[in-house]
Amino acid sequence: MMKWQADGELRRLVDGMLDGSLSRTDVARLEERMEADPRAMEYYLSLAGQESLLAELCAGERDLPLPMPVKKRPRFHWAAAAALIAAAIATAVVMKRNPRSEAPSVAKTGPEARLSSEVGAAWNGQHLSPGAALGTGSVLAISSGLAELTHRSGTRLLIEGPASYEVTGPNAGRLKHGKLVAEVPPGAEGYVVEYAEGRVVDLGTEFAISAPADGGHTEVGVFRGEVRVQQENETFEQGAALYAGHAVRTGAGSATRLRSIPFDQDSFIRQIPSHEYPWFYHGGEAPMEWDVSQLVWSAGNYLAVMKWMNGPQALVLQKVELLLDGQVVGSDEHPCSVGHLTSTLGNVYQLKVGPGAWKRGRWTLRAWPFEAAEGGHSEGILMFEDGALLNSEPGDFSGPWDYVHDGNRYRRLFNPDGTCSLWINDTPSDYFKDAAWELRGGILQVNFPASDVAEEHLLRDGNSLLFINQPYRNARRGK
Amino acid sequence: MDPEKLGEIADGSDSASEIAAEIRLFQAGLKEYVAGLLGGADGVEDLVQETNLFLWEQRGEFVRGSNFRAWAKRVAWFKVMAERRDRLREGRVAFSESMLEQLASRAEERMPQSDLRLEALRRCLSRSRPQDRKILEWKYSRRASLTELADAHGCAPNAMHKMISRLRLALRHCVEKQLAEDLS
Repeated sequence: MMKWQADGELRRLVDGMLDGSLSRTDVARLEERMEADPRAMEYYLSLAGQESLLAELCAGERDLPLPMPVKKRPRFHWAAAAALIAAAIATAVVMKRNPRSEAPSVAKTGPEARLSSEVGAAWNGQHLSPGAALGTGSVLAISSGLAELTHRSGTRLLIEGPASYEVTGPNAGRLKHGKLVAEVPPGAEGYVVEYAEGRVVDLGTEFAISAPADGGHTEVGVFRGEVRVQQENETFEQGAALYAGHAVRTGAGSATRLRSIPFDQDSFIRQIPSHEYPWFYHGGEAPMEWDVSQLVWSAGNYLAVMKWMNGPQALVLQKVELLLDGQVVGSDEHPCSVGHLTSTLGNVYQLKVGPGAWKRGRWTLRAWPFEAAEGGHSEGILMFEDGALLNSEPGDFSGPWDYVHDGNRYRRLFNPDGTCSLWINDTPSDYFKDAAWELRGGILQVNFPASDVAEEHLLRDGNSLLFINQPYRNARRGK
Repeated sequence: MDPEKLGEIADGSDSASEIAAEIRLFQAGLKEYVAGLLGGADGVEDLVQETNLFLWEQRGEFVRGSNFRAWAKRVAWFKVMAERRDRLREGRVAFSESMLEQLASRAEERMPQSDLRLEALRRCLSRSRPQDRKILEWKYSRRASLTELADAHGCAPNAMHKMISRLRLALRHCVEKQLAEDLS
């Protein structure tokens, strides 16, 4: 009997597969051939296996005269390995539930975590700024405020002070105490957070954990998806599964040392709050009010910037107040007009929370309009900012800033010598030709010789340039 | 995790070193298995290394006396599925899930002979012509593209393609012969 041999088509298909040059149709054809004939599958598997072994065997034979770069993907990818905690052990649960879920592109190198954002964070020990890298062993400790930490895996943590969190890997950490909400995107499943009495292993979720500083009971609750709570020496399989809407208190006096409790979802902050609140004014003197609780984390100075964006009529205010549970704590009374550049005046209010006046509660900002003489309306945003923004130095502003308005791309460049320039869609504009900039009380003013109205900017977190009296979106630091 | 590093650990006598030894002795099997599912050598080394690391770091989860290789295969399987998902997202081709299941089951049956095949292939390589070894080294160790290979050897990419196809078959044939001798 003739020995079986691969025909021309099968050879072409298998070679193409091994070289990564097959089209989808070709792959389908190869599958057909392999389904139809086990020998075809055997042929393919033997060559594919041989390819992988050749890579190993040939590595020792580097004695060739011509230099050629070695092409290698970055090595080991911890995040993906961690995802396997979920996958390998919990078998196909996660995969089957969402087999086509899109994994984010996880950076393969870089620090284990970065501080992505913070609001009102009061640091204990090491002070961190957004963008700061945290390697294994780094501790993020805040006595109050919010810190957003993003692990290399893509897992995003919102940590509310007082809290202390130690980074232990690209997708793992230890919560010593504090409140933490973890959002684990597809592909980063397997995020592990340890606490005093055990650990929580995520299976693709958003969950919260709260560990009191006094060593009391830790609470774990799940917003979406599923986690495993493993106590002390339990293995993954011995751990308790927790599903969406469930919460437990650990260490409580039951046989399992876990007690089911109602999940108080509202007690956790799930994302970094926005500094910007929309307003819509339709006339009258009724005050406008916004809840700024998630932005007021300590005593100190705060800024309220009223910014107009649209509408035929300027909004006129008489005062702005900051209230705690309905009681006025800080107030700034002066008239302000918010409208087009030329009708905007005095729209930055400074509010002080005196020492001892701060506590957790419902903080609101209230603005009192003057009755406008005629009808019409206007709309815009309130920017509620940390008063420390006024401590910016001229050097913090210099450089290019990019923003988009009504579909056009703009770039403002502030030169250290006080001159500035403007580009619109990469074309130089002469609008800034004779303009000069200076810093006054922490606010950047662009002055024009032909006008007595300056354009004003504030700097938020070093990377966002706010327009105070132009209806533009915040500019980002350019490259 | 480097197999060499595992070798050092494996010299100990506790259960950790048993795991290290298990991992080390399963390298050829895992590589062949993963390559069969991924459709070639591309990405295999990384994926097997990630699997090793996972097995090593999760060694506490492994129950002594249970089937280590079954566990390792399952880990590799899930890694392949994740890699497949990434590839599809990037617009690359991959086998269908039903084909993968068939391939996995057949690849598992082939695993016990992986080490024998590795040794046979080593012998076959040592007997191959120097100019052929050079091409193989460029392709498999330096991961030169077909065009780079063709340029470096002064031939057309198409000719190089045929040359590689021929080398693959020749090696496969040699390995089969060696294996037949080993097993007889």
